[in-house]
Amino acid sequence: MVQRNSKIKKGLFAVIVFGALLGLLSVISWMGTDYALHATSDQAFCGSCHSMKPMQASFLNDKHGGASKKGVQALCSDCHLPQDNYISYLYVKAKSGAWDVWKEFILGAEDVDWHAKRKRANEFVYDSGCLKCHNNLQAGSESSNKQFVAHKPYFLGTTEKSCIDCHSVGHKNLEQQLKRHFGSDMSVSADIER
Amino acid sequence: MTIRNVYRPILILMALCLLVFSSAGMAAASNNSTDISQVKTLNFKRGLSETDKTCISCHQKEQPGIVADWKDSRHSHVSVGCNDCHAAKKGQPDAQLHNKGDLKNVYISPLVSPATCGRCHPKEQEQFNQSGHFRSHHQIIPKDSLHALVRVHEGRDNKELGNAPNETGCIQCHGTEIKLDKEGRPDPTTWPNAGMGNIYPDGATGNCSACHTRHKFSIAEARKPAACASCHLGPDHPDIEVFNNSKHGHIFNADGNNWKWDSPPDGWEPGDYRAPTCATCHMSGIGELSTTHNITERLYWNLWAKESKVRNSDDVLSPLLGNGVEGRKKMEQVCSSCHSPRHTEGFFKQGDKAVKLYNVEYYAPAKKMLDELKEKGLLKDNPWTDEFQITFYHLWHHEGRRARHGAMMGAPDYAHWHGFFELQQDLYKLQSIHKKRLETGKIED
Repeated sequence: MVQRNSKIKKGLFAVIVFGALLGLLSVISWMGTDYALHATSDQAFCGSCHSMKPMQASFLNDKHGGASKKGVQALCSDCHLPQDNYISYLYVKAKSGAWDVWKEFILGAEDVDWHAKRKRANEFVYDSGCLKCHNNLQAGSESSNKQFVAHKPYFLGTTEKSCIDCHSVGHKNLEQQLKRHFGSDMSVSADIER
Repeated sequence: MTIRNVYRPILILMALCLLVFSSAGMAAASNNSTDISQVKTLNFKRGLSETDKTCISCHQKEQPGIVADWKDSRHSHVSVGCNDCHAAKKGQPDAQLHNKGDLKNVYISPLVSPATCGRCHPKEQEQFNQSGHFRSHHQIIPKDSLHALVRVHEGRDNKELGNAPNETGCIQCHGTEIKLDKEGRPDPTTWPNAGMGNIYPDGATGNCSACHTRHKFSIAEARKPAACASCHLGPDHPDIEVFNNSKHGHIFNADGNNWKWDSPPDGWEPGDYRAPTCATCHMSGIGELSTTHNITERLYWNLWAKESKVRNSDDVLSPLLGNGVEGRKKMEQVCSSCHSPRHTEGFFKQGDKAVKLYNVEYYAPAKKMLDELKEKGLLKDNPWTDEFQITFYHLWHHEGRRARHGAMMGAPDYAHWHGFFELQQDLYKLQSIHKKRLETGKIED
């Protein structure tokens, strides 16, 4: 009887220890993941690549980059990753992150036509990102006549335009920064960083 | 004691009571309604930005016409100001630094492209981009014979002055690709113009102000035939003349100044007007149909090409853009707001018959003769000195269009005297020249 009791106690103890360890481990891994996700989301990290210098510079001059009275600075990933759910967020982050590293360090990013890519900005900026922070926009629009008129088709779903199609925000004077960094002819890039 | 002495205090008491009750009642009533004293503090600020106010303070003296127009517009009513449309970004190709007066260090552009309008009117822009109007300039780009007509024949190939017919004629209705000088200002060889199909430096095509003129952008104005008539007139597509000749035009000209022109989009229905204008049939929301800026949507035929065919293309650059069968159904739906099915059906039977007659009895034989003469080398190199080619051009481009447009839009004088009458004259002339050239083997002088 005593033996059986101590066996149960031992088992219970093992379960508790195992559970506690599992909990601790998941908290630690959650912390690690969260840290890693944040550490790879801001302008300092993204701007550490050569190709991203003009984007970083123009971002830091922009309201969204913190150059405002309020001093709020967005993360690159706030706008450039979908924010509608964790799965699509993680999927797009993994996919585009892996491609960016591959393109920058293995294939070489000299041939990228950034000016042409800017014309399809709506493929690289997600409305769910805008609406994460501007989360009361629909009601907010009602306080201003012209804002209401302009946002009505968007919220009614009668237009397929995305936020960035009308609001060219996030990178102040990106055009000039690109030209300064890469030269106006995109094929001649190099010597600025020398 | 008289009776008066008895009643006087009672009457005074009653009057006092009435006074007290009524003032109490008034006080109670005023508690429930608006406090009039507060109304005075209502704020009528239009919500314009400081920059807009700076623009207006100066430009109302410099160009009072522009500011007056805007002041009277729906835009000013909802506080859409100068910079909502004219602001530019540094580095944008057409951006100009405004450093005059009180407005310093601000980038603006005089060019407002449909992409700018489309920020608040996206549906209208998308519909326009699917319409024949989108093609107005694009369709001219590859047409060498047309460039030769304007540049070489009309412009006399003059290096310095030869583009005048294009600048003062073609582009003012068709639009053009707007070029910029080194400072980013619009080049006078391409601007100003009020043309429909401009290609703007931002890449967008169109020109909203072609119909909604600056700076009032009035919906009432765009609904009137005048908005279309500034381009759709003259010997080759006399659409305003056709409209005036029709019963619709008759009623509009007699009674239009009494109609209601400013009902909201999709809410402008028979009753507001007694007869349709161009916009009513081709664009407006009427009955179950919704408003559209795709003016091709309700068409069956192409009525301006050399030969009329039923529309059946998704390609916005194709002359046959549209779905003719669906288009006809929609147009019949428009008619049904005022006409019985029998009336509508009969009208289109008459019109279609005229279009087919033109195709079969005029265009086909004329084209056959043209091809035969071409094959035998019996056409002049310069078509504009060749009686046969000039007549052939008039047959389809002038008379043929007048007959077809007249027939399909209810204008008897254009269907007949300006149309089929002239067409038979053209055809006899072509036959006679054709016969002579084949017999002699020579081009007559």
